[in-house]
This record gives sequence, structure tokens and C-alpha cells, in this order.
Amino acid sequence: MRAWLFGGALLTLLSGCEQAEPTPWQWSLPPSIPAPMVPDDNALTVEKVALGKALFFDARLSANQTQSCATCHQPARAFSDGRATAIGSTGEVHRRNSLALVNIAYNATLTWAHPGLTTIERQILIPLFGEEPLEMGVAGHEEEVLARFRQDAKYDSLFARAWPGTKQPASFDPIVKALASYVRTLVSFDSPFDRYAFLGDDSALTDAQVRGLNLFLSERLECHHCHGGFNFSQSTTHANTLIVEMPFHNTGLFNLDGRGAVPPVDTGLMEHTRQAADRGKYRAPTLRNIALTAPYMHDGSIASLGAVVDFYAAGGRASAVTGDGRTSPIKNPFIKGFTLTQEERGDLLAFLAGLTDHDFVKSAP
Amino acid sequence: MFDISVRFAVALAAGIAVIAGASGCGAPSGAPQTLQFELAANGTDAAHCDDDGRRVQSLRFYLHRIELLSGDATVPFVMDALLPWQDGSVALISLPACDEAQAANVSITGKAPPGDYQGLRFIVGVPFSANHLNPAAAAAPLNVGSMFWTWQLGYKFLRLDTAAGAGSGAAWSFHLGSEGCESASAVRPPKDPCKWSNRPVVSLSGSDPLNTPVHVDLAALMALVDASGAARSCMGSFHEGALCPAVLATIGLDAATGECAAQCAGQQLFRLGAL
Repeated sequence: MRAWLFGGALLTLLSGCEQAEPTPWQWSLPPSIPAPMVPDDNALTVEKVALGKALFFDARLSANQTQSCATCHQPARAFSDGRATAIGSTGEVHRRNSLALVNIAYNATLTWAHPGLTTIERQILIPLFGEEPLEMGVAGHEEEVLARFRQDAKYDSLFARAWPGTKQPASFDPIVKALASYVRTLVSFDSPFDRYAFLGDDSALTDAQVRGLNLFLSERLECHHCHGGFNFSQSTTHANTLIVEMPFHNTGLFNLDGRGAVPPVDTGLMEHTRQAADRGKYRAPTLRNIALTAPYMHDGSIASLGAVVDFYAAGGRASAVTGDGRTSPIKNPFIKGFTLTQEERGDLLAFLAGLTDHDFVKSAP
Repeated sequence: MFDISVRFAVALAAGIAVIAGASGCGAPSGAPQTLQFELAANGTDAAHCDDDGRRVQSLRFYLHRIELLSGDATVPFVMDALLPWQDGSVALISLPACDEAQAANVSITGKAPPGDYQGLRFIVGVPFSANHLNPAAAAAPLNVGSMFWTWQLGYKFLRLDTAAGAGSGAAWSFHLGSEGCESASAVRPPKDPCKWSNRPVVSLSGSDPLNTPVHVDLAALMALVDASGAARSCMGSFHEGALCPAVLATIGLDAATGECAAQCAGQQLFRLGAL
């Protein structure tokens, strides 16, 4: 037994400089926040995250080398892009707003409305290979894109550290796993709200922010029915989740025909379920860092956070273009409108600003 | 006004004594048993998913301190720790409803000594000691996002969401939980029990609960809602207006105090055995 152990140690010593074992990722989370789920076939390691981070900011990953992931997911905007709707690498204007990448490791489902999309690894295939809309545009250019990484000594080293012992050149399976690993680590739990709520620091929020917090969590405003829980979205899972919930909501943005119709360009959840009752339903995104991610909604149609509060206060949107979303029969019943004084409105916005984690947006290069 | 924890301790001590007497040693005894819950159908599609009635989208509730009744004696039903739906102290029942995305759980498993049981008693809700802890740190079944409010208010003890059917008015929800919980903010727990506990103590009799399902019958509650025009959901401020106090009466509670009225004997939501 002892000889075997010694032999093993010797082997490790001999090969150690060439094939260091990858380093398991250590989450840095407040004491009460559960760790996110990580797929069994993509163990999270420091080396995969390093590779994924390099790839995330590398425009050579798009077919025409004009866009990286970070073009639409900019760190300073909590990994959103500031546009109403995204623009792909060939200039195509998309129909949906680029989602912020904040705590997506905790998302029960990915993208705005896709009940079957539950892993980041699968989601990443959409921006890479999707043709409608066209994002990175890799489809049809696979070898050309891979060649850029195979001829780069920096990436040789990054791949070798992430997958020691394999001689495979760069390919899309490790690229996707590395990208997923990096964005999985984009966790944000160091806002003033977190220090107040989870660390018990009474001074972390101002009096106005505490009043806004209480309004946010009140039955009068009902915000928490969709934006509840530690991640401010009910569509949240984590390593201790045993009962998974994947809610989607129609918030009353549209009602074209008085019977709940939404513009055919984007029918939301219905595209997957084919159920008329699912028209205009989307996943409630986290509100963490929400002050950094304007404009808002799946179509980026509301410019500011103040206007979003006014939208929910009105119980939906009414206009000649959208119809009276307030009376849509498929609107979520918790969006029923409320009245705020000017001071209360200011308190609520101050609280939402208290969900900004400034270290998080500084964490990337 | 709030003596549930004291009653719990007394009942627990009594229960331990009963068990110890039955088994001859201190360990819980008895065969594995199951309590079943069913949405009462009253001859129709119980949740009205496919007819014109008010559709039951979601019906979930927490239970704790479950006892079996045998004559004048009460015997604890010792809940298993069987995650995710029951942790050994609190169980979550989630009846199948029209929102098929919601997972269902219709039973609670545990152990009970052999006996001639003709009734069942349980408390709807989460005990105060567990109700106001940091929900982010909670384990199943207390980590279901749609079932908690905040540290301050704690859990929704019972959550009923309905959608208008073709022939009935607007969507209506009933979210029962404690109210009047005083703390510095929504994310600070109250030190003292809330003004309105709102935990019905439900006593059922007439059948053997280990072999008869508990029927959850929404008929009385829905009749009230439909008669009222469903002007306001009952998700707080239960003592205000006319509808919510009447709704609380259907689960045995006096809305003015948040306690049982006459031992909650007037509750009409739960029934043991025949329809």
C-alpha cells in the first residue's frame, strides 16, 4: 500500500509540470446564499473560467470578427448593451433586448422565454450558431473560426490548462463549456441591499431605500410575486432546489385586439408552447444591477427605470400602437396597478438603485 | 394571545409519553403510513381546467403538528424527513391544478402506532419558530419561491390562485399568512409573534385518516368569491372589508383575532372521508 502511494506521488511529481490538475472553482458567496447548480459534465474549474473569459472578449469568435460576446454583454452595463434591441455581427437588428448576464447560473430557464432551455451550455449555442436572428454567425464558418484559435499559442496554453492531457485542438465543445463556465461565475451579491439583508448591516441602506424596500415587498405593489427571492426573480434554481419553478408572465405591454393579441414578431412563450394563453409571456429577469441595464422589457421599449415603475403603477401600457395592455385578459393578475406618492416613487427607485453591485461591474477587464 | 408554541410543547411531550408507552422504549414506533389529500370534485372536473367554472391554477399549503385522533386520545403522526416535500416538521401539499408547470405533492408519509383512529388534527401553516428565518438559507420544502413573502411576514401558509372561467368574473387569489408582524423592515424578522397568527387548527373526524383521503373542498370559498364579484383578492389585510373575513371563516379563523373561532369548528375547506 505504502509503495503504491509512493509510486503515485512520484508519477504526479514527474508529470506535474505538464499536466497540473485543474483547480476546482470556489464560490465566493454571502453565508446564506446557496451555490448555483453546475452540470455534472462541465465541472467548474479556475482554468475553464480563464479560457472562457478570454473567449468571451475575443471578437475572433464571430465569423466576421466584428463582435465578441462582450459587444452585447458589456461589463460596465452589468453585461447588457444599452440598446433597445440587439444588433448582430452582420448588422441585423434583432427583435429582443440583450439580457444582462447577472446571476444567470441561478436561472431556472435561459433567454427571455424558453421553457426547455435550462443550461447555459445549450443557450450559448444560440448566439454562436443561430441564423435567425444572426448573432455571432458561426454557422457555416466553423473551421474558419476554429482555425483562428488553433494557430494561437496563448489559446494552446489556455486549452491545455483547462483540459490537461488531451491533445485535441480547439473545438466547439470545449469552447462552449469554457464560455458557460465563465458566465456562470458572473454572480452578484455585494449590493447595499445584500449588506443590509444578508449581513445585517443596518447602515447599508438609507432610510429612503428601506422605505422603498418595504414598498417593493408589499402586497400593495406586488413586485415580489414575480421578482421575489434572493435573486429577485421567481424563476430561480440553485444547488438546494428540489422543487423547480419556471414561471413566465404577460405584464400587459400589448393588447392589440382587446383579446390579448401581441405583435406577431414576438409572441413570447407561445412560440414554444403554441398555447394562445402564453402570448406575450416572458421570464422575469433578476432586478440585481437593474439601474445599469436600461432600456427595459423584452423589446427594450421602456427607456428608464422610472418609466418602468410608472408602467406597473398603471397596471400595463395603453397606447394607439400597443392597444390597452391594462385590460389584456392574459395579463398576470398581480399586475393590477397601484398609486404612489412622489416621495414613495423616489423611495422605490432609491431601493432599486441599492441593488447595484459596483464591484461586480468592475470585475471584468 | 399566541400559545401555539406552548401547546406544541405540551402536545409533543404528551405524544412522546404515548409513544414511549406503546413501544416500551423511547424510539418512535409504528408502521409507515400515508396521509392523502385530494381536491374534492363534487361530481365535476375538480379544478375546472376544461369547463366554464373558475379555474384552480394553484392550490398549495403547509401543514405541521399532525395528530391522529382516537376517542379522546391524540397520537402524533411522526412525519418522515422526506425531501423535498416534508422535512420532518413541516410538509407542503401541492394539489394538481390547471397550472401544469407546478409540481404536485398529494401525500405526507410518516409513522404511527397501530390504533383505531377516527380523526385527524393538523395546523395549517409554518410554525413561528421557522416562519421568519432568512428564506434564502431555507431548505426544502421551505425554499419554494412562490410560498414566501419576506423575513418579516414569513410564508404563505396557503396559496390559492384562480383564473376566471368562461362563465365567471376575474382572477382571484387567496394567500394566507401571518400579519401584523413588527420589525425594522421587510428583511428583518419580528422578535415577537405577529398580531394575527392566521394558523387554523383543523380537526376532522368520521373516518380513519390513514385509509381515507382528506378532501380539500373549495365549494364554500368559491361561492363567496363568485357572489362578491371578486372585487378584491385576499392576500393581506384579511380583517378589512366583507369578503376576506368571510373567506377566513371558511377555514375556521376569526379575522379580527387571527385565531380559531370556536376551535376552528366552522372550517369548510377540509373534510375527511365521504363527500
